[in-house]
Amino acid sequence: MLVAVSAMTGLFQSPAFAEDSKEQAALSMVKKIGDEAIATLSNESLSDSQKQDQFEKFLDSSFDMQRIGRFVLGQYWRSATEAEQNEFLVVFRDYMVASYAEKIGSYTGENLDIKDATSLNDKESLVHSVIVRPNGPPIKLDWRVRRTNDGEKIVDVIIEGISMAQTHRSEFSSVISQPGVGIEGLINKLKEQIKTASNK
Amino acid sequence: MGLRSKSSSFKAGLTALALLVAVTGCATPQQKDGKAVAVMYDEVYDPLEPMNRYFFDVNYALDALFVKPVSEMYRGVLPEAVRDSVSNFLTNLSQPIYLINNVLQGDLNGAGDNMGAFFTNTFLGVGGLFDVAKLNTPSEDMGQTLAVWGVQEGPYLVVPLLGPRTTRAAVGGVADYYLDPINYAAKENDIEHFGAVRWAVNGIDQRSRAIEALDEIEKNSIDFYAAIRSLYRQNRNNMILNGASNSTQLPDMSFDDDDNPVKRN
Repeated sequence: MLVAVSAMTGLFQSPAFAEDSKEQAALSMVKKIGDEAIATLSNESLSDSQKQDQFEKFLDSSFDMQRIGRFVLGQYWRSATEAEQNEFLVVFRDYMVASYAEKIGSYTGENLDIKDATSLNDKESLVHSVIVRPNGPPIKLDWRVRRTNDGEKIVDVIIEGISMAQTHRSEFSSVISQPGVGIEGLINKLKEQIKTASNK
Repeated sequence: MGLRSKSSSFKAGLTALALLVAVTGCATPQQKDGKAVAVMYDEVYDPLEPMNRYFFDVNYALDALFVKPVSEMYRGVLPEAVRDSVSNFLTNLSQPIYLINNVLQGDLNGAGDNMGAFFTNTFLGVGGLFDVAKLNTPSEDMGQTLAVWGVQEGPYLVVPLLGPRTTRAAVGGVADYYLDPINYAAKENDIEHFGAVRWAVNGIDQRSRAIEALDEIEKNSIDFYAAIRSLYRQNRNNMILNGASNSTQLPDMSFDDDDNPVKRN
């Protein structure tokens, strides 16, 4: 009986130990970018704008921004024209950059402690990590990583159980559904937001 | 305060609770690993949105005029150690109601932690001013208990002065008030306005810890109301699961024409 059980658990566990499992790949991907991000943020020889350039590169190379953009438009993606879809993807990316840009300057020695990865579905894994802060309690941070044709890409970041993609989708749907706003209105609002952020 | 009025208000609370369970309790909870798991709704259930937006604006104005300035003063004047003690004291006062809710949710480990934290911090932590036990007890309320029991969250509400609530959490909050032994102890000892003072200090304590976070959400959002609504509901769901793995609640991010997420006509 015991042998049978251990054989069974061995059977179920073996994919997790396989060298090329998507969880392992996701874990090493997040480890790599986490190390790079902390190294960039704590590098005092870089100016804030240099750090911001690094962040943009990191966003473009490590995030599946097309998928995230499509997800946050939710049901409205299908009703949008191709031109609107493409414009939205560009504006959404700039909005993400603008929203996170000024957080770069407020880095105060936080560290990213990456724990482990669990499978979410046949393509996606969740990498669990904790932001360790010099003052204040630690923050739980999960990375949703998807295996794509271009390798592993981040599709969502979940802070203390709060999904950023879902928050954006909820907010954007609310804006689009207001009378007389629509997708064009959402794009204009995002543009305004980017402008006010970059004027500071 | 006689015993009579106490028991009648207790009864009123229980009646409200029973009514809610009767109205919404027919809905079956989602079973996973034998435990009730709250469902994360993709779409927002906010049928009272115009009224909610109105009260959201009212609350926002009250916050800007009173709550935020007082919170900033509170944080500016009192050293961190004192503010931590205020927070510890409030948490310790809440341990009995956390315990009751943990028992009602069938979480006896959680209830044991509440018991341990309460006695350790009350006696060794100078009446709860210091967190000696370090048991990290998450807040538990009747809204979460009802969720574990399978009651649906109901329409989203913005309550004047109190802020965002699901209907379930709002009803739970009333039940908590009548179930909380600390409130009866305060009445017994004729402590005047205990509930109001506890509520106000707790509000300032919480607000003072969220000044930057809320400012940032407001600045980066294009619809502050909708952003707060989504954050509130996700956070509630997270609390109901006690921060356990939320992978079951995450929305699907796959699409039919998946290898080509951008439409090509």
